[in-house]
Amino acid sequence: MWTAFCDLLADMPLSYIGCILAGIPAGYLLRRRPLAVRTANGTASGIIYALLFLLGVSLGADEDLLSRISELGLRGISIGIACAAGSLVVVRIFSATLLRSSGGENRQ
Amino acid sequence: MKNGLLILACFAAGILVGKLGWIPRALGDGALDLSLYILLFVAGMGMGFDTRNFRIVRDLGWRVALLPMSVILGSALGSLVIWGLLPFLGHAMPLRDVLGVAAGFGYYSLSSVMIAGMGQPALGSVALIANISHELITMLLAPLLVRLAGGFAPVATAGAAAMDTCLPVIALYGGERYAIMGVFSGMVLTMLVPVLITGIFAWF
Repeated sequence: MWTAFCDLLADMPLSYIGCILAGIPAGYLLRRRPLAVRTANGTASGIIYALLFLLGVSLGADEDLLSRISELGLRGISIGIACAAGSLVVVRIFSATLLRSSGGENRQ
Repeated sequence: MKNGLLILACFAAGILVGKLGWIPRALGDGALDLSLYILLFVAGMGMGFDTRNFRIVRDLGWRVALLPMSVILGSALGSLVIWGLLPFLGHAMPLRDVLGVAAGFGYYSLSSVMIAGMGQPALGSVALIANISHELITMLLAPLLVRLAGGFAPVATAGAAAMDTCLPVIALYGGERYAIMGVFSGMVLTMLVPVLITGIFAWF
């Protein structure tokens, strides 16, 4: 039954975003309940660890993917560095304007 | 960084278990779908818990939006550059894939799992490494980054991670004010990650 439910969800193009949008009001209403906040955060990190473990499993079980693992890593690192460097350059350009919005440089 | 390393350890343990064939692959694929939806819902709840965003915009004005915009623009520029360079390294990738990975903005857990959930485990793994490197770069190089490009530098390289895991180094090497703006930038980017990734893979 769960599989059918998931298939149904997956057929809707915006289902990912729909799940998030449904969570926002739920979180807003429960924001002053420490137990709810703790449970939600705990659930999230538990699921993340499990999902990334499973992502590893599907990679490890696939001989073809496994043989390309260093290639995948290199691509990942290149994209990560390029995006971080790009963000650094653009923020440098806007930093004067940004400082004005926070009341000028008076930290020193 | 402890978090990022723990994630990498889980991922590596999964690779080992998968290679040894201890868990049938189909089981993993089925569990992936359902837990992704739960994760997305809980991620939405996390956004609802946090009302700091409204106060920050009220106190700092519209210009603060330039900060997450810089990260979006910078990541797009970086993607284009690396997309052009990858073929020379022998690793050509479609532009859509590069942009999709870049749209994780350092939110490695959600971006990698979402992309893997779209039936692309290889690209999901690329997204995990690419987005974890935002956090590692920020944590390891924060003092250098601040000297190079000012207090906003670690906020920019952290991307979505500026609101949580990278917040302490931003406050330490930049200052309190940069940390507040980092929270705002990180939250805006965090909310945009699922929207942009879905959009890039659905309509690009």
